[in-house]
Amino acid sequence: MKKQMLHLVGKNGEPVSPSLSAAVEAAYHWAVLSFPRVDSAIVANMAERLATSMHENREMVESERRYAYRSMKRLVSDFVRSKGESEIQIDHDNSLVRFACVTTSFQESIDRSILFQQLETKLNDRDRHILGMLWRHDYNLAEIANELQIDYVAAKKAMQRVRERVAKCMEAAKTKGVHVRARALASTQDMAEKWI
Amino acid sequence: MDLIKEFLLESFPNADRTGCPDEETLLAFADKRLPTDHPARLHVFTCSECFAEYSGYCLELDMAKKAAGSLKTSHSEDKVFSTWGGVASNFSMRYITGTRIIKRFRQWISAYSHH
Repeated sequence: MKKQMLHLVGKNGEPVSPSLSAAVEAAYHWAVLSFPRVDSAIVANMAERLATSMHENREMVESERRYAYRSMKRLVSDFVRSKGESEIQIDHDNSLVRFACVTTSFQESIDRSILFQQLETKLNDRDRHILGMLWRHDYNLAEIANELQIDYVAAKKAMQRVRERVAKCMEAAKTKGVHVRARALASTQDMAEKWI
Repeated sequence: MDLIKEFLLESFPNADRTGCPDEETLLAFADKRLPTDHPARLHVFTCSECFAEYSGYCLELDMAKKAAGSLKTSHSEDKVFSTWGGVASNFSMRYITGTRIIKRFRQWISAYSHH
C-alpha cells in the first residue's frame, strides 16, 4: 500500500504530539484496509479532522490509540451508511459516486444487513471465534484446537460446521437474490475452501 | 475474508463499550499472549468496537513484524557486504573487480602507514 502523508495539526496549525500522530496514522491505515470501498483521500480527510479534534480535547482523551480506532470506525461507518442512504445521482453512469465511495446503494446495504442478520442467527459465539481466527490467516489447525481447548479432530469438525453454516447463509442469500459484492463473496468462499 | 470482517465490524455495535476489555488485554490477544481461557477472547467477536481495535492492533503487529523482517534482511546484507564478493555485488561489479579494489585499498593503507 502506498503510504499517504497525513497533515496532522491542531486548530492553529501547531503540530500534534508524536503519540497522537502515531495513533491517528495507525487508525487511518486500518480504516483504509478495512473499508476498501471508501476513497483513501476521504479517509485521510477524516483522520486529519480527528487529529485536530483529539489535539484540542487531549486532556479528555484517556487512550489516544483506543480513541483513534473507535472514532475512525464510527466516522467511516457513518460515511458509508449516509452515502448508501442518500444515493445521489451525480451523472448518467453515476461514475463520480462510484469513484469516491463506490456503489454503496441503499438496496445493497439492505441486502448486506439481511445477510449479516442470517449469519448472526446461524453462528454462535464459538463459531465467530473460529471465524475470527481464520480471518487472521496465521492460525493453523493445531493453534485453533489449542485456543478452543479441544482436540485436533474436534477442531476440524468445528471448523467444518462453521463452513457449512456460512455456506448455507451464502446459498440462501444467493437464491433470494441478495446482492453481495462478488469479490467479497469469492474471498469468503476461498477462505472456506482454503482453510476448512 | 472481506465479508467476514465487515460482518464482525458491523453486526455487533456496542457504543457504550459494555463489558469491553482494556487496551492491554486486546493487545495481548492480538499478540497471541492472552491465556486461552480469558473471557475477552469471546467478547472480541461479539463486539464490533473491540473487533475494530483488535484488527487494528493485528495490523500494527503485522507491520512491525514485516519491518523487523526487512531489518533482518538488511543486516544479513551487511554481512554479505563485509566479504569481497559482497562488496563487488553491492557496487554492481564483477567479483574480480571487487577484490582488486580491496587489494588496492590495502596497498594504500600499508603505504600510508609506512610513510
